[in-house]
Amino acid sequence: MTAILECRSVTKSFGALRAVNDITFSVQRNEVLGITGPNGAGKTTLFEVVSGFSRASSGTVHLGGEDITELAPHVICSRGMMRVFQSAAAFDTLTAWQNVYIGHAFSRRHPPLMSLLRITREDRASCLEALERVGLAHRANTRVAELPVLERKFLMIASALVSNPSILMLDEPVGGLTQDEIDQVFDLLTSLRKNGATIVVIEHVMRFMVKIADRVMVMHHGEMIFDGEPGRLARDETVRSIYLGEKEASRIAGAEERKR
Amino acid sequence: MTMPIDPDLMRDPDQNKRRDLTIAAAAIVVCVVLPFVFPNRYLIGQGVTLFLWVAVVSQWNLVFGVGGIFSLAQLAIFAVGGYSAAMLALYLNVSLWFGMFLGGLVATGFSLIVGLACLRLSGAYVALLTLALATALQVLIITDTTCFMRQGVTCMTFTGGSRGLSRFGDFGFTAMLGRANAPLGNYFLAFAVALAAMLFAYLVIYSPIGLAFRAIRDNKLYSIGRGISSVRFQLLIFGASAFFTGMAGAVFAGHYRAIGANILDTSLLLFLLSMMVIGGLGRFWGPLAGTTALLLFDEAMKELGEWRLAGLGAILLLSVIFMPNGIVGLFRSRPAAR
Repeated sequence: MTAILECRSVTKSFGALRAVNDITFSVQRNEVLGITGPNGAGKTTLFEVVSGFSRASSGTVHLGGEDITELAPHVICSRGMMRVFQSAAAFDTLTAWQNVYIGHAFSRRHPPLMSLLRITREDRASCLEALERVGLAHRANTRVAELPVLERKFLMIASALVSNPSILMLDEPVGGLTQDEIDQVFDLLTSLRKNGATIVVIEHVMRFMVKIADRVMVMHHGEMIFDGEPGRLARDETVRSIYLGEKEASRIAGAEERKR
Repeated sequence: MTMPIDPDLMRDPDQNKRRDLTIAAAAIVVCVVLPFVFPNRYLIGQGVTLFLWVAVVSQWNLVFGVGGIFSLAQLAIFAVGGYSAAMLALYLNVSLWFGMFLGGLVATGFSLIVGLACLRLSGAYVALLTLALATALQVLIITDTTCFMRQGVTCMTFTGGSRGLSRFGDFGFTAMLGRANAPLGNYFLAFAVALAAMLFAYLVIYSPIGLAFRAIRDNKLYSIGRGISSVRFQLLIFGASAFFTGMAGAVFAGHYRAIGANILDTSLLLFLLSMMVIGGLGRFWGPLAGTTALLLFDEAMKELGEWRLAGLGAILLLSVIFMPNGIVGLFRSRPAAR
């Protein structure tokens, strides 16, 4: 197995505060890594550093063997890492397919010059295909300002998928959704995984997390306090006392039992 | 759950090629026929003004409306184009025809520098910096008193100072078309520049580059997260919107056979800004609609003296309240839902 993403001793300091402290981990091909932890644990900051939006204070990040620690965020996109943001971000005045088109046209490593001047039928077809993968093809011509939150989240995933990324970074994909909507996101991510996607996902909703992740990392005060299978999570003393609490831990343990 | 869609049917809801072509053809016919139906010097002069402002506002709309960058440097860019052409003609005897293109290029260079200066700023701070740049340019020109060249007994400063630049000639339409028809030459030259500027704006707005500008405007962080280099595209907007603006400046200088620092007055800047807002920010037909509406309004208010400005303010206020998307917004087709 080859590691797609490899982070070594990544640290991000803001003055005296170490928001991310010496985190080392790697993500294998077709693996789903979950990252969780209390608010302010440094999860999103870690994403910011890995995806280049924020410079690491120290440590290195490698994507597919290439050192991307110093690269600008838009360049990291062209190397195959796509982020799905925490809020339901979208380009509101554009239509759904135009939103997807942005991810399609500008994330290419060497875009042909003509692609900056003309939108071809092939471009449109690729966008439509990505919309189909998330079940939004019927919304292709809808202005995104008119879409509900769940569809906006799906659209953001489609605009990432359209470039065939080697790794997908999802920040709280089910935050603020209803149970029924959470199940829809779960189904989508499961189908992506079946098709070979590699995913890193930050999530608070533990029931969702233990179901989707192959491996879970728990962060607390910028440090990693747990890294292992979701099944061991509820039994881990540190995680129980710092993050989950007894009630949630036994509920997750129950869910684990039912899964088997 | 999904039904098949033909990729050919995926379009921009703002773009309607048949409608755009119809409006364009009608507008072109009117502009071409009008000076022959009413061969009136005053009307033709107002036509030149209309075309020049349409050219400037249509390019400004790329930065301000489509790109969402609140730059107020557009008239400074216009002035740089006009002054460059005038100075090239005055000091180096470069024909205005050639100087017009050089003026466009110099204006592009100037605009790129403005764009660079604004890279780290956002929102209202861009407006402040660009307004300061425009004001500084005006002050620099007005306070220029160093003798550069003698013209008879008077002393010429390099920029013309507060008196402005003149005696650099014109486009030579008097020799070409005769004295009576010379204004028509300027009219059609300004018309050509406005037409080229609008065609350029059309191509930019509906190209992938235009989509990128709109994406950055809608959500900058997300656009970076989808591979758009905000630095590259911001410079691209500033550069692209400057060429025809500078060219219009050169035509302005050639038409009036003079150019002065008063074109950098804030009142004119606000007048053009009002045109852009009233027409419809970020919309292709906005600049044409807004410029036409405000020039007609200005014409109607001419008799009212000082009340003219108050009237302009009232119109701007009312239009922002009652047509937040401008004149063009009133005709916006409902987006096709599915």
